[in-house]
Amino acid sequence: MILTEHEAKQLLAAAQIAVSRSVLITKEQFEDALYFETTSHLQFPAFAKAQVLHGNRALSGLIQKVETAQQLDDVLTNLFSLSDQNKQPVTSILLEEAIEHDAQHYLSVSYSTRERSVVMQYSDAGGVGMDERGGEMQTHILSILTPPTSFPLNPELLPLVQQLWHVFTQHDATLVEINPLVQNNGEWVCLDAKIELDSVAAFRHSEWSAYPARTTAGAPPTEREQKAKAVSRSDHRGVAGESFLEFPGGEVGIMASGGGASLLVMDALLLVGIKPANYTEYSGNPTREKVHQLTEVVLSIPRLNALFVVGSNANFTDIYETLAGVVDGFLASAYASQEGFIILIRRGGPRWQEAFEMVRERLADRSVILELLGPDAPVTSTAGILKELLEQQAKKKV
Amino acid sequence: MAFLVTSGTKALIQGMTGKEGQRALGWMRAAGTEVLAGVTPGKGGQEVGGVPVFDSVAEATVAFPQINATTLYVPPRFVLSAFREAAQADIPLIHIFAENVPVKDTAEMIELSGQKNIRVVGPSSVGVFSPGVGRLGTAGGGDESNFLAPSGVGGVAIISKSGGMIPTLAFPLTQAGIAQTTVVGIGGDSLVGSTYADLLDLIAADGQTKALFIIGEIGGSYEEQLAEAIIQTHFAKPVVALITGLFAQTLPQGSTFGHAGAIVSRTEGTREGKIKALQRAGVTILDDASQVARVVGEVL
Repeated sequence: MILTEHEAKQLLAAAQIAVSRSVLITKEQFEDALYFETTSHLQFPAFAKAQVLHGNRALSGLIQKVETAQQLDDVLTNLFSLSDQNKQPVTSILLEEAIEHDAQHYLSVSYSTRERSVVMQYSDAGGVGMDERGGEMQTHILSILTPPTSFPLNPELLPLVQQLWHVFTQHDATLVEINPLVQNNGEWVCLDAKIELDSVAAFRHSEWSAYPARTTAGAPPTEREQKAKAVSRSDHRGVAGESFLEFPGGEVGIMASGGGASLLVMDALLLVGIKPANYTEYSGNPTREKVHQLTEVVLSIPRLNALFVVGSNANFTDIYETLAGVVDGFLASAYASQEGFIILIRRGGPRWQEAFEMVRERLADRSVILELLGPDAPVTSTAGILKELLEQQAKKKV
Repeated sequence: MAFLVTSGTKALIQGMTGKEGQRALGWMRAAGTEVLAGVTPGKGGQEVGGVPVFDSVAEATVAFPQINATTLYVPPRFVLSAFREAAQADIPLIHIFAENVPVKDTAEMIELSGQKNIRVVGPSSVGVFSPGVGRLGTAGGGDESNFLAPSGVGGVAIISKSGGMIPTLAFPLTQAGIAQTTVVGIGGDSLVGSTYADLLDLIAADGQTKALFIIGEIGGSYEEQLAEAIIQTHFAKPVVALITGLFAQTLPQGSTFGHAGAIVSRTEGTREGKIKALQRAGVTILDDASQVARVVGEVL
């Protein structure tokens, strides 16, 4: 879960890390002209910063300098009229006093898959455009078990490095980034911050429920994404809808199975030119009820011509139970009475033959095109078979 | 021969009284592995399938000092404490089944395992299966007809982030008469206890393993690190790789897909970058998964 700059700075300030004086202004406060009083104690120049969940805000015009209090209304009016890269309108702005400084530094703590440990990254050339200048970054490996006792990349920063390490570990963060980090009157001050939290650690952070919902890519989740995640987390057995993405205009509902196989399935669809309406995945032996509910979420997408239930030869997922859930969800959907709707299932694993018999029996009185493929059918061949079925159905309609 | 799980493996199952733990017990025994004990706090004194259950790992290892591997079938929030118990008892091989383990807990387990020279497989791993020899976890599934145990000519080792892809792609190998020595699900999380590169020395040393087939995907750097290790260690056995994630690359940065480690990033872990790195190390890239038996057969 990515935090906004304001949310991130609240965590940093609570850890005694210096941030600029600021006020958060919501669109409602702005429209009701309630912000005058709250900003009256701020000094100008200041920066008005849209609280959106992606980087490069300065380059996108989402951070603007406000030279005087008289300019504030115009700047806020302009910023609240903008949208972010996910086409989401700006709903809050952080107004923050400008801080005099010379050099801009970069400091972050994260996990490195290469080191398989916590790493601190540092550059004395921070600021806008760090992605392009990534080569200048220096890396220092830290322990997750004991706080850092030295920071050879810039020993002067050790107290701040220790504070950041505590923020990182106590809040189950996967990234704490300060950029730019500047010096003002001998004090290190965080001018901008990004924090990402590890969503699966939510069980030990009840305070996270106060954060508004958002997706890993930073956009607010759609209703279906929210429903799918709620299905997945309704119990601890397996996953069913933990990842859910929607692709407007797609004609095939996807119920992939297995984290690895789901990637292979999507690749295969892309290669034959089929446009999926969504991506989702269930695995780890979820209950029939969870799969039923996830199927309903997928089949709530309008204008589908097919449901594609393709997965690997499962190690331990009960194919009978999970396919029973798929059929339950299908029969509860509007597509259950759509003539010529295609259901393609490719599965192997515990009780797959029994499961296929059950599917055939329960759908016998429906006018669906049913294609059942067992473990000997290559996963990648299913995309081509689906394409043929879709083309045949399209011809019939003509 | 096989690696990680051999005929000498004496196993413990933590969380054995749960549904998944009991499944692991049945499948491990069916594959030939001796399960000496189970652990579930508060259920000490019970038995599951004739195997005694203890309240703690310490008690289990006092009763059965020959235990040399454990598999954790506990919910994600209890994984770290279960791991600490196993590490405290100096069990040299620890497999973690659970998905959704916080990265911080995994980082702590990796650091502890380094200090104590413990080999960790997982989290989010189906385990290890050596056909005809034994199993740790539920790797390979209950249907062993997907797999072929090696005879005199040896076979191929499979290492995969995805557990489900192992039986899926072992099946066509089996049909083509290509045996598997050991298959390992290393897990699809961003941090895992054993990477492809970590297992390379075991594969090099295993006389029956004639080739390696890896199943990788976008995200992280483990495939790139394997490529580096192949070059640095002069790994001489042929390697075939399937790297998925073509579609994922078309989506917004930060999108995730099933496995926690499969994250779209523009700067690292791209499918193209992984394929290039592996090709530089002489690895044969499998463009079409349905061709696995032909391509592996050719390199053997």
